Amino acid sequence: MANTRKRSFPAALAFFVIISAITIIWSGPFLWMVVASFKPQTFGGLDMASVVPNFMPTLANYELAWMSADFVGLYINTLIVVFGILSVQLVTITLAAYAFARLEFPFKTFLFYLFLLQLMIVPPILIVPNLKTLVGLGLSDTLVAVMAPYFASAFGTFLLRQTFKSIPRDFEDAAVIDGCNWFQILRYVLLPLAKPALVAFSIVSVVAHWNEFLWPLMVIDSPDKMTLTVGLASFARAAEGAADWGLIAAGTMIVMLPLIIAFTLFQKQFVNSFMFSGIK
Amino acid sequence: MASVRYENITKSFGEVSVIKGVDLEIKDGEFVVFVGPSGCGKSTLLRMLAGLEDASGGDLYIGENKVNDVPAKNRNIAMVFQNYALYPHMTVAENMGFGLKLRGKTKAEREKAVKKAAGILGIEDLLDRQPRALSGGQRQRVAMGRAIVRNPDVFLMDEPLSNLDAKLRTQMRVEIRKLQHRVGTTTIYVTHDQVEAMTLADRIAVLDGGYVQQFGTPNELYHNPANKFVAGFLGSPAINFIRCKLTGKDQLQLPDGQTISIPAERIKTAADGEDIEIGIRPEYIDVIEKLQKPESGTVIWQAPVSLAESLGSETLVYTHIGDHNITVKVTGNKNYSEDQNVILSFNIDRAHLFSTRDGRLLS
Repeated sequence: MANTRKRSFPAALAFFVIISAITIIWSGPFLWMVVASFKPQTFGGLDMASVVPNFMPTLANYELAWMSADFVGLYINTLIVVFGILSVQLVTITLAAYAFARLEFPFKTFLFYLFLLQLMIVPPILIVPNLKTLVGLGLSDTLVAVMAPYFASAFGTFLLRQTFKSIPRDFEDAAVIDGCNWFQILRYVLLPLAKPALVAFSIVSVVAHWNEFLWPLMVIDSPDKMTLTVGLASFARAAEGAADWGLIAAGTMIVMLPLIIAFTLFQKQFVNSFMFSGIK
Repeated sequence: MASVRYENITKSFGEVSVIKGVDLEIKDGEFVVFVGPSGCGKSTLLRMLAGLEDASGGDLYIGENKVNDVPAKNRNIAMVFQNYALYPHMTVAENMGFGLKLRGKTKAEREKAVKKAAGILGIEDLLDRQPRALSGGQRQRVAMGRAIVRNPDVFLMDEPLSNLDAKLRTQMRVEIRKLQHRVGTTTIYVTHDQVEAMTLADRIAVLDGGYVQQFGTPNELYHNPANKFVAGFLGSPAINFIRCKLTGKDQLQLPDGQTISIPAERIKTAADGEDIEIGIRPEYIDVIEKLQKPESGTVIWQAPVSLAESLGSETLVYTHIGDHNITVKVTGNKNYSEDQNVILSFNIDRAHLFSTRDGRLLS
């Protein structure tokens, strides 16, 4: 949507300056990393800090990085974890949100707020108890263990409950008269209408779990079960010793690339999703 | 097609009793309008029949089947909602065919039924559109289409025209009436608009306070209202109520002090000295040229004009007698200036007599 508001000149200038500053601050490290990843191998690092490329770009760092770790395996593990979490979450948040939005049961509001309380708990606090549980279940060092704590999502339940609540009851009444049972109402009416919220949640969930580091690091020991972030860390530790920033930058780029591409492709939908769930 | 019967139906939401005991018998193929002020329970009555609300007491019948415990989808009813409730993510054809799909009809059967219904409503060229690409009137038609495509026993319509502008509303009103004549399906229509009720209905049920105040043809209700509420609710401009006193056996004292004799059989049910309200419709009051001695049974008043509205073919004259506002409808385009005095005349035979205490019609 185009911004049609007119700003006065000083306001427009101030806006431009602030936005530019924020953009430069945020993109600086990233740009430096992109430049560094294409830089030829140098010994000593005097020109290391230069953001302006003063060399012929080369893919040597990428080649080296790709060979230094089992990126295919890391990708597969990460995809399993990310989409495994997402698919279970979509089922659990849909059912929970429907219950909280539409069903009547004792202590409904109290239970909902209790459920929301977990948003206030800092995740690292739960690492030890969660690990204990998973070891008790005999799941340590498995991908299922990486996913398990995220199968339910307070944020997703909240987002979807609000969306369901904003959908006029008449649609459901019409569906009842058309002959739907509750599951068909959910399947044919509520979920299609909640699609923007589901897309928004999916993006947030995928990004969060793609970038997740601490939890998989705690759970996974075997190299063949590592996710990208964990793999990158062990790979970077080795390279750091040699101060091979070009190699680290290339490795990081390989890890980030799918997210960057996805974001570029879904940018509009991503922003719209939040607009939708925010405004409605 | 089927008849519909409400037997001593009640409905409470928690402590609040909305429907306090309703008996109605709607004939097969009849067009019945539930009308009443907001909060009178008319929509609740409709939603109970649809199966969207449970009745707290009493029995509901569609045809000969008691449907209290029959789920909505097995009642074979179709409903048109105030805001149409067309599924935004489906095309017009999918919206109309959705109920058939859930009932396991094949694609070919659905397409045939949807085409036929679309043909009746003149919306064949809209079938591939999404609801958001339709105008208000088109959405209304699609909502009707979704109802008729299933060939239900009963149509239920919950204020289906209230989101349309005045001109379109009149046009759609005519179309709904024609459509119902054509398909002949029993129809229950809820509205708060008495003009819709008067023009559409075979019979009208006027609801207030959780009860049916009167159930009858538009003419019966207009000309023989059962009580003050019905008289006041139907008719535009509204009927004039004038408070009077019963003095002696058959003398009615009007607010300005003049008395008029009343045939004794019209006030048999009134107590002596009881306050009475006479209700006289604006079109039954005449504006006459000269003050004259009233004939028996005629009331003549001199009243100042507070406002006159010319509607072209008729003129509404607002006057008052003491603190009673009196509206008069005269045919033709007449000019009256403010504070001009006019002479009003009406015959008491044209008036209805109500008890002030409980609003019942005296007889």
